[in-house]
Amino acid sequence: MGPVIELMAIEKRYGAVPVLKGVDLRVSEGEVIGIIGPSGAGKSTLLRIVNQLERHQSGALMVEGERIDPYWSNRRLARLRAKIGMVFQGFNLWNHLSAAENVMLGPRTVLGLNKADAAERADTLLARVGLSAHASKYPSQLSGGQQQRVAIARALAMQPRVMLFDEATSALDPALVGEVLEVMAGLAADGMTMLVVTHEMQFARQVSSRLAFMADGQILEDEPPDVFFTSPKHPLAQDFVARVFR
Amino acid sequence: MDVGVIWNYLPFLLRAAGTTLWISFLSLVFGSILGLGLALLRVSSNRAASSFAWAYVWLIRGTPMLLQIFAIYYWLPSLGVMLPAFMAGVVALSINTAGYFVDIFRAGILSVPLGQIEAGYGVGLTPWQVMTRIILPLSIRPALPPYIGQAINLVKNSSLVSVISVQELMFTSQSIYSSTYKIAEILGTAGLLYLAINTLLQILQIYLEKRLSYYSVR
Repeated sequence: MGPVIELMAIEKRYGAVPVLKGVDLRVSEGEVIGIIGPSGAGKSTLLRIVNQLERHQSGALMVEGERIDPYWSNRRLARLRAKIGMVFQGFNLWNHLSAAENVMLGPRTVLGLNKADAAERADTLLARVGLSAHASKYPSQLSGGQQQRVAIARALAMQPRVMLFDEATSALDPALVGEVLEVMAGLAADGMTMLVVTHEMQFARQVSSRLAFMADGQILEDEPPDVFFTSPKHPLAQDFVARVFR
Repeated sequence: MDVGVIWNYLPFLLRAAGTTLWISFLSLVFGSILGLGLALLRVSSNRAASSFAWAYVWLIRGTPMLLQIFAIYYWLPSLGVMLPAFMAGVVALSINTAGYFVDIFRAGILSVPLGQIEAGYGVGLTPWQVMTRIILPLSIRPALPPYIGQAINLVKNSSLVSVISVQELMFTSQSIYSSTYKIAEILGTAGLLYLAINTLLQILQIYLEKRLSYYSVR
């Protein structure tokens, strides 16, 4: 079976500023790719190109063998995005909806589930992220860690083929990081295909099947985490590893 | 102060206030629908649609309401559109107030944080679904205070349709005091009735703000 996601020579510029300078990445079913590297390396941009919240200027994006054209309208992209779950740094729960309603909106609107089925799915998923007791609360009544766990449940409710995590714990209190990482590790253990942009090196090392180290708009290393952390080859990677474990 | 005059004419004034309330309500409904439609055109990426909505606002806000009322009542008939005074009043007030609602709604729409919109696209909503399920519900709260403010303007502006003989509160007051000469009593009563209607709107605002407070962004 072919890769679920394939990026080939992806380039992205903001105006004259290059952010991605030809990125290649193949993600197979069940793989967990940790994407690490210094700020400004292009990690988030890369992730956002996978579901086309950012459009690349050249190169090719393939999702389940289908080539995704960056000129497609948001309307046409909806079908693609429905099968790719996205978790944001800032949670981005919809403030006017309760936790359960946040989880139900996608299944009801996009997948056409009826209210009872969507509610059942929300129950199951909120239980899975440990938030059954908070289903009727609004985002403003939840802690950051709870909001992020609802956001994960919201993405899972679409039964996605791939989950994208864009620095999912960076905006959290240190004390709340653990509960979110735990949910993510559970997903990885269940075989979910995941792309995880993170600054949590310990976590990246533990759950990733491969680590992609990015700097300056390129993937400089792409290998199993133990290889990366014990024998990084590129000078920038060596420098990064040295500073992380100083 | 001649309380007897007020008492004698109160039924007429109350009925006229009812007309004011009715014409304002209808214009609020039609003006809101028109204003929302134009606001959606205004924020759309279609240049022609956006320009059309911009031009509407430019024209309607830039000309006197009295002129608009006269145009609809006296000039439209020459184009073959003959409206009775009440309907002409509703049309004029709706068109006028929509010109203000456009930017009120647009400001609400633009206040929705980008992350809320991206999360919508992220689960696979289409642009229309993002607009109706996320952006519009989230714009109600920020648009509410200026919306009620414009609704209050609308109630007061409805007094202008007295010039085309719609028998609302202002017209009726004028005809009563021009025969009784009890100007202070009649205008004072009319003023209190306008104030009462607008007080209801202000109370509505307080109630709605409280109800919508759960999604105030911290």
